[in-house]
Amino acid sequence: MATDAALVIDNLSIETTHGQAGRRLVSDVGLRVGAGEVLGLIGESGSGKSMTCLAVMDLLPPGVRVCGGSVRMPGREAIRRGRDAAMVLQNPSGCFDPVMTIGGHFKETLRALGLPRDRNPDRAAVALGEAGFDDPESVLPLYPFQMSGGMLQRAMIALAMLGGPRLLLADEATTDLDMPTQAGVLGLIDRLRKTRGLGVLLVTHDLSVAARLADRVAVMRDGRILETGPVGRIFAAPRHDYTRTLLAAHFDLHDALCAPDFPDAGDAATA
Amino acid sequence: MTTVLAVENIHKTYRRGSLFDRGAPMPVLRGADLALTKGECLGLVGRSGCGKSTLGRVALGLERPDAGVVRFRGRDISGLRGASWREYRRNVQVVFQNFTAAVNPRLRVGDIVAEPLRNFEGLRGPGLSRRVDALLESVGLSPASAAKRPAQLSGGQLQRVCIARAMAPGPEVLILDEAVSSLDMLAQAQVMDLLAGLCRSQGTSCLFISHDLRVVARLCARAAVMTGGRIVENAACQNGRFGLRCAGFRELADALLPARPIGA
Repeated sequence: MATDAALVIDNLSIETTHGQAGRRLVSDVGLRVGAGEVLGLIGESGSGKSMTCLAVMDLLPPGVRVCGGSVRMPGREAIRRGRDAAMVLQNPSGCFDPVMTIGGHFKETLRALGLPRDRNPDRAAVALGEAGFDDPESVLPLYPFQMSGGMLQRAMIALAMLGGPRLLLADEATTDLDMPTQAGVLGLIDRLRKTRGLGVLLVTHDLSVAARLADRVAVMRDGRILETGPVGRIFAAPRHDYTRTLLAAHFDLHDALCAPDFPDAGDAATA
Repeated sequence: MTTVLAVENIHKTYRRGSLFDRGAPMPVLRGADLALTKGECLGLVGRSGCGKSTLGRVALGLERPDAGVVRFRGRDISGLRGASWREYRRNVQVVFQNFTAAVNPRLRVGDIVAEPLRNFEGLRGPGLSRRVDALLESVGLSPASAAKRPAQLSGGQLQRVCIARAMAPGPEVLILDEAVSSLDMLAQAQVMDLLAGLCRSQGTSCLFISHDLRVVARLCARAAVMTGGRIVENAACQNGRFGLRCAGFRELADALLPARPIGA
């Protein structure tokens, strides 16, 4: 397990140096993501989930720094952004340059990765095809505003996969998408981890997303990991009071909705 | 049951274009009909881009429809002027999804909540402060938060401020456009309980726009499905059971994620 880990975080602490005294944002976080494994990182807003992701990518904002612990990818000296690990964020429309076509984004990313240019159109089309676009060539000339949120998030994942990373950080990647689109994007991530052995750190506040995709779940609050365990154990037998609170809110929301029964189901079209 | 707010056969086309390019017209609403009765909480569900938000904006009077009528208490709002227009605007309030963008970051929370009271009721001085304090308490915030600025509040707290502001002029109708979608699960549950309680105690009618069937099932007694700019179905929702059968609803229902891990 340890040998084919995609990410090992030990005792990670992050502090902000804004103001007089440094304030801890993340304390002694330990996480492990295996190859082909999805680790769900759950917790409420402000619990330090995103800061942990940014530390993995070495993208902490100014005034925020790692003050202890380590972030490693076994077999690598350092984690190379784009080549070893890639990140997909919430709000895909804010992540694209509005005056650049999707093809332009691929060109730019390939150049940044130092990949040969002559095969670029090919690579872009293959990556988009893998991300579920039936006709990738037709997507390349589009501008971001001509695409829906779901299409953009698929294109973002295709861009993230260009460098052949072993680890994908998905930070609330499906949060703003409508449900059929969300289900599609989660299906795509599931496929990629199976076909490519991609390790995924799935950051979410929606426990349904973790239930759908995660193998293991880590619960985070106030910058600390409260408990980590197999998804089934966390849902069935949480050990921490806070996890129980989260699960109660989650089940309460779900139990409000009876499973819809369609008497003449069978011809129901699924997205 | 009296209808408080109704939209009838609304058509709306946006023209997307730039300086150099006229852009193709994009029809968003194609004959949408919906009626909200006194005191009810009506869910409006549909996929992104189906026209839900535009219908909400038309009902609020923020967008003028190309065709069709919006009626408040039976009167066509396009004919309202002066005091009667103010009366309509006062009685139809809104809470948006993006609470950060919905408040002026430079104002204090107290001033944000006071704004509609100054505008619609002409309140000033100690009377105004008392009302602001009472409103903040009604959404579960302490009166001390009146002195804070939006950046000092969490998402859930800020959305409560937006709800307090919307409830301030005592509206008959509240339009909630994905109002709990950006909140984490705990904040979402608290804000929904708050909304349900407020609407019950004040008799406010709600139009709750969302693509999340879970939150609609929890809050609404009736739900309408929008597809391609039209309301295609409209049925009661009781004890979490929707009486909806159309393809648009099925698409949303089929995409529901599991509550528990599969096989666990």
